[in-house]
This record gives sequence, C-alpha cells and structure tokens, in this order.
Amino acid sequence: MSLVRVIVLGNEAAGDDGAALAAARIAAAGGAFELLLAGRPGVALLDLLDTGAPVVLVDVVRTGAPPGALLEVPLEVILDRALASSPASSHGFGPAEVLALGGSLGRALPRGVFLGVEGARFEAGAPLTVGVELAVPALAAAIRRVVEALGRNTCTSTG
Amino acid sequence: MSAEEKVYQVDLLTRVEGEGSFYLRVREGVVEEARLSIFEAPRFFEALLRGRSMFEVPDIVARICGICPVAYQMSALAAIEGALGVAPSPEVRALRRLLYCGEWIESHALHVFLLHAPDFLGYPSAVEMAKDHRAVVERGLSLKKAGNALIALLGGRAIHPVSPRVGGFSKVPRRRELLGLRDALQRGLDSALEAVRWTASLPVPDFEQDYVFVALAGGDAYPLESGDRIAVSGRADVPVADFETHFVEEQVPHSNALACRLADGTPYLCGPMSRVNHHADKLHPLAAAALREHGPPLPVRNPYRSIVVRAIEIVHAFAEALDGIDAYVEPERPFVEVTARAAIGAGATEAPRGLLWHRYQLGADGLVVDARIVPPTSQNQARIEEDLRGVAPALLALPHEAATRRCEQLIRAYDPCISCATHFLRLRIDRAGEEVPS
Repeated sequence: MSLVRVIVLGNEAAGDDGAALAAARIAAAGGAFELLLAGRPGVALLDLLDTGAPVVLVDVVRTGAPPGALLEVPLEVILDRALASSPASSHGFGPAEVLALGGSLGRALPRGVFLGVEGARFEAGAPLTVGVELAVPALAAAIRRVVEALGRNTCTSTG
Repeated sequence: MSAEEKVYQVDLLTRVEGEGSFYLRVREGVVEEARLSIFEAPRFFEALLRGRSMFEVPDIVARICGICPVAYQMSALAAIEGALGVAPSPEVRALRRLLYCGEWIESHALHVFLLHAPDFLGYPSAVEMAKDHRAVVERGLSLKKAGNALIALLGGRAIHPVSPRVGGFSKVPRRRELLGLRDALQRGLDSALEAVRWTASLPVPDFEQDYVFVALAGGDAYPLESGDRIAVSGRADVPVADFETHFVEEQVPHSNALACRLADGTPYLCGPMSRVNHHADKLHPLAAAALREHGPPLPVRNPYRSIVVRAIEIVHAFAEALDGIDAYVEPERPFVEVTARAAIGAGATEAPRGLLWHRYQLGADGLVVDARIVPPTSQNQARIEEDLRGVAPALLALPHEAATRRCEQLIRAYDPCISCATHFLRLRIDRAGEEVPS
C-alpha cells in the first residue's frame, strides 16, 4: 500500500501564505504519510502530483470567506474552481495554472482531496492574521482525518 | 493621445517572475519614453544578511529565488571563500559545477518551453499552447525534471538546496547515486539537441542592436561557477573584485530595482547571448556542434534569438553534467574547515540570466557586516529599455496589439527575474545640509 502523499504549498515569510505549512508541521507529528513541504514549486507541482498514491493538496485560498475558513473538496473539483493566481507565483505558474497545464496535457489528477484555509493578508514578513492562526490546529486535524480516510479507502480498494 | 503619438504598454507583465510593467511612448516616430517598471516591493535581503553568520549566508540567499537559488549560493560562496582565502578541493569545485548545470537545465527549460515559446507560436500562455503543442510542453517539463533531479541529489532538495556550505558541501553523493541519474541525463541531452533544432526553426523578428556584452571570464571552461574577471566587449577585462569601480547602480524613479550601467553610463547586456559571444570556443563539443549547425552566426545581436542560445546552453549543461558524473571522484572530505576572520571578498558566477555579483564584509567573529548583491536582471534593466527604444520604429507598421506583443516578447527574451532584481535601495537623507546615510 502506498502512503498517502500530502503536498503542502505556501510561503511562511508571506503572512497567511504560511498557514498550510504551519498546519502540516503539526499534522506531521505522529502521522503516517509522505509529507512534501513544497513551498512554491511552480510547474514541478505536476511532478509531485505524478504518483499512484492518494494525494492531499493543502494550500491557502482566497474565496471571499472569512479568514481561517476551511475548504475541503475532491482534488478534481479544484481544477474547475481554481482561478488564475496573481503573477507573484514562480514565473506565473501558481497551483491554478499548473493544474490547468496538467489538464491541457491530458494528465490525470491522482485520487485525492484539496484542503484550503482562507487567507487574508500576504505581505512579506507579516504574521498570520488572528482568524487564520486560530484555524491552523483545525486544518492540521483535517489533514490527519483526510489522510486516514484516504488510507482506509486505499486499503479497501487493494484488498 | 494625439494622432501622431503611439503608446504601447502592459501594466502587468506575465510569464516573468515577479511584478513589472512596460511603457513605450512614440511621437511622430521618435521615442519619447521607454520604461521597464519594476514595482514588486524590495525584500531587503542585503539588510537581512547583516549580523548573520557567514555559515547562514548560503541558506538565506537561496531564498532570493526559487528558480535560480544555486546561483545565489555559488556567488555567495565564491565571495566568502575568496575573502577568507579558502580553496575547496577540485572534487568539490567539480561537484558545484555539476549542481549549477542542474540549475541551468531547469531554468532554461522552463523559459524556453513554457515562458518564451508561446510568444513564437502565438499563444497567450503555455496552458493554451499545450492544447495544440503537447509534445513541445512535455519536452520542456521533461528537461526541467532532469535538471531538478540533479539539484535534488546534490543539493538535498530541488528548490532552495541546503547542502552547499562555506568550504564545500555538508554532504556529497555516492558515485552510484550519481550514476543513477545518468540515463535520464543522456535522454535529456538527446532531447536538448532536438530542442536546438526546434528553436532554430522558430520565426524571429529582424532586430539587431549594438550591445556591450558582459560575461564572467577566467579559466578554460565555459563560464559558470567561478571566474576572476569580467569580460566587457570592446574594453579590457575587469577584475571581479573591481566590479563597483566599473559598473554603477542607480535608482530610477519608476523602478524598485537599481538599474546598472557601465561607469560611463553605457547600458550593457549579460546572460546567454553575452556568454556565447564571449566564450563560444569553450562550449562543450556537442553544444559547439549544435551552434555551428543550427545556431545563429556569432556574434548574436538579435535578442529574439536568445531562445536558440538558451537551448544550446541546455545542451552544454547536459553534456557537461554527463562528463562530470563519469569523472566523479567522491571527495575525501565534503568540506574544508573554515576559520572566521575580518575580511572583504567579492565573487561572481553566471546565473541562468547572467552575471550575478556578490560582495561581503565579514567581521572577526564571522558575522556579516555588510553585503551587496547585484543580480542580472537589474544589470539588464537599462539595456531592456534601450531595446524598447530600438524596436520602436518597427512597431509603427504593426497593428497595436501585435506591436505590444512584440515588446513583451522582447522583454521576455531577457528572462527577467523581477523578484531577484528588487533589492535594497541605499537612501541618503539630506537634513539641513547634513547627509545621513541610511
């Protein structure tokens, strides 16, 4: 059985953009999964998604919800919902563009779940906003829960 | 805007790293204003380095860029080790060159296939281009992956590597680990040779400029991770340590990046075109053959052709990496011990985008007293603006949208890394006649 792969995006030096990474570090304690703190991988995210294992992709999102609100959707749904990010992503390849590029290339997404936490401010050097900081433990718990569920399903499917 | 005035502008450049724009105003055929504006906020890395241990510098400067972190590490190490009189072993130097090859591969592959190619094929982005030219994009991703794998093995991870340290590496690979990459690199070399043929077939606008080409020099190898001189076309070489005497940075009102020129005010160009024009005789034989058969005649003076030169440098990097793996001898010690002392040192290497110069002043305790970093994009900034002026006459015959795209394509030919370019502005405050440096 393949370990569930948890891919975490963000930048800890850019305010709330570090929230997913902070949650993943908490979730990693005692967790049995492959953790990739990917930061801003650009198009290399396609390589990270190229796996036979179930995937949990964790990132900070902006949907208009209150800061700290959690989002959980199947991975394939995020492809339709993701909007092009600001060009601050590495050479214009943020996760939305990378997922779209994978779609254009006909690359299938792995089975998995996208977990997001709503961010509010992303200035360099800024701390997490209060609402986002309060949500970090809940996001860590969500990572563990989703990993366990995906792992259980993997066991079932492989007998 | 009057009937005689034409303005070309893009408020947010895409397919470049960071946030910038351009503005070109032409009145009655005469360029009145050409600006490359970089409005991404400075990140104050030079100030951040002050007071930190010299051993922390490679890890800190790697964070300046996610595309070319090795370049920042190598320039910093060249400067610090030069200051302290440290000479890493030949095996360590070869390993650093191998690591740098990985960065050239991944950075150039990203630019050639995903950032610049859409301009030549008429697409707004690689995402759109991939729908019709899947093989082209897959080739770029495959090449980039091979470069990343090399960095990950030598550097400990693909982005922001952690193993380069003052005096050498914290950990070096086993020979069998490097051999494990050989097949992928050989496939990459074959694919890169095909990429040279493909890029050479792309339609290129006629546009040549009279550039001053600037590239690292010294030694017998194609410039990469070391060099003690800087070659400047039409002038005498400049010792790396004397960079600040011959090159000046100035603040311009429209940009958060300092614009660099020769001391007499001449803008200059650094990067792949400068390297190949100065050092074509030092290319790996396979890359030299590709240049002869498919490349533009030298000197290359058309920036739109830089896509071919980058493809040739990808060939060079793959070929040199394969040679490096075959010749690899595991160092007896991954690093030499370094003793702190008060010293000043400058170092330069060739980042994928061009010359990257660092200078550090170290205290007796090994802490950084002062740091200065001059990245290639800030060196090219004034030259990009000159190119916009130069291309203006040809734009007047084009529809406005096509002319604007031509300008964007020209700027992207430099593969500008705007996030790298924004760096610390030295302020001088004049209070009642008293100058107070910041």
